[in-house]
Amino acid sequence: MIPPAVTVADPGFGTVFDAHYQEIRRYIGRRLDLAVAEDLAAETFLIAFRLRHRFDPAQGSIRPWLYGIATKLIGRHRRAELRRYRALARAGPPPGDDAHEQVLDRITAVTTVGRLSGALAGLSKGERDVILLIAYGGLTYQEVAEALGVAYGTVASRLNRARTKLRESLGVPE
Amino acid sequence: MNEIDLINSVMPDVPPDDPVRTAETRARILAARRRPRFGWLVPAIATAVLSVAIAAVPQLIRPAGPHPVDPVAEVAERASGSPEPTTGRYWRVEYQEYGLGPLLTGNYQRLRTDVVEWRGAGQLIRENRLAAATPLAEADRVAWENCPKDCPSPLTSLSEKTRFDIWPGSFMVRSGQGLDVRPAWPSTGVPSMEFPGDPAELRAKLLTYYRKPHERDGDSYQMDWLWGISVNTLAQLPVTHQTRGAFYRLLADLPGVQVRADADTVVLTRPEQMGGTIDDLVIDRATGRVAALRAYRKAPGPFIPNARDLPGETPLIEMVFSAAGWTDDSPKIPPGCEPTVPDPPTISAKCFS
Repeated sequence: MIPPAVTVADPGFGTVFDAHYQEIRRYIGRRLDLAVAEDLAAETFLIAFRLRHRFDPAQGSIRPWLYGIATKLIGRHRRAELRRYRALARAGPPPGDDAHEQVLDRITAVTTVGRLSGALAGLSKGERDVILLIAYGGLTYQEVAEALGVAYGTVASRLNRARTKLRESLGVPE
Repeated sequence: MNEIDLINSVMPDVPPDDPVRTAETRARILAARRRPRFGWLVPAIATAVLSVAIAAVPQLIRPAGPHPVDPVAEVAERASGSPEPTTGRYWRVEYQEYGLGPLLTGNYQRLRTDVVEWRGAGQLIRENRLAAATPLAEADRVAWENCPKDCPSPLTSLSEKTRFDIWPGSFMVRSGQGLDVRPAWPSTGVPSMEFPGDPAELRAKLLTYYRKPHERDGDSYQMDWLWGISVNTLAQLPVTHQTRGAFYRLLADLPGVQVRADADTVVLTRPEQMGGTIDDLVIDRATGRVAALRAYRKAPGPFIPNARDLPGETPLIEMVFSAAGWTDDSPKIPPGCEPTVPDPPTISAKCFS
């Protein structure tokens, strides 16, 4: 074995980084400005690395655990996230955004992004965390519960409230 | 489309990451295990205190030097103050190497190779694994996509394969050439653990290995050699913590070397390195260890014959270090790869696995 005091790398954790860094960076980058997101993505893995002894594989996979750390870090930038949604609500997506082109034939993208952003800004933090973990991270209800440290039923109720508010903002009938 | 799909589809996405930056982040995170509990606070506070103190009373600390706030002194002191265990059969170094390679005539790709080196028992064993190959620019991507099926590409010839290169010891001093020209992989033929911890003594010791290739080569060549051999030794050979600090001071004092620093790194740049490159030595402020080596083109021009010109300052090669330390574990050399000819160094095609 390489003495821990000398070894710079941990091959096991390096594998975790390689497997999940991109998606964590993307998740944070869709909620905050990219410059902040890259720092927070790195901080997510730093925290995970330092607390890796607390991770219990029996309680779930490492992926929701990482998303949970990232979500807590995003929570420290709540005002920045809300400012971003309000800016998007006013101006729509930045020019050249690919997703904007894909839905151009369904509805005016600027209007949709604007309404969605305004609606996301109007959700509670808990509701927003749940719906964005599912939308951006693709997490299941159970994984969201693990990530946020809440009960499965709490996830379901928060999601239900969030979807209702979004539908109202978008003018979509029940 | 429900609300969740709609969010995922229309809300702005993020651009792809910069692989070099990601690799640096990876190395920085994995380096964190060397810090004690709450170690993130210690370097931050130490750095802040040191910076304020040096900025406030430079005349009380040292005579006016080239850097009002001396980041080289900071990392040299950090390196010098970090003794490490020095036992083990092999000195093992792990890094990612990013280099330019030819894709088609006139086009380039950037290759990432994951490398692990073991030095010990009179050998250097280098394990290479090609991890990724991506077009350098849009023109290269177009050429890549239009490449016929039989187009030679490392992705098709080396994909998911590991290669072992094996050299005997003394490679570093056996030859009078190639020591300071990348790629140079110094082996175990020098007693690097016995190098002095004083910059002047270290410089004198290193120059005992110097052989002037031609009478016409002057002092500038010697300085090129000293830079090259120093950064390669720092990055790849075992040295004591005192010697590591001495290397930083030695390199910062070489002619033309510039120093810049940010929150995480101190970078020593030699802008006139032999071969027309700009060389960077990147040091992690938190650990005092080498984080990366980089070489850039100084001016626009082709990298391979008949190739299109590359812009100035295009990175030619970068080595991002993620681990270094002593180990008793032996490399797992595939059967048939054991070195049979001690000298000259052998690179056996049988060692592909």
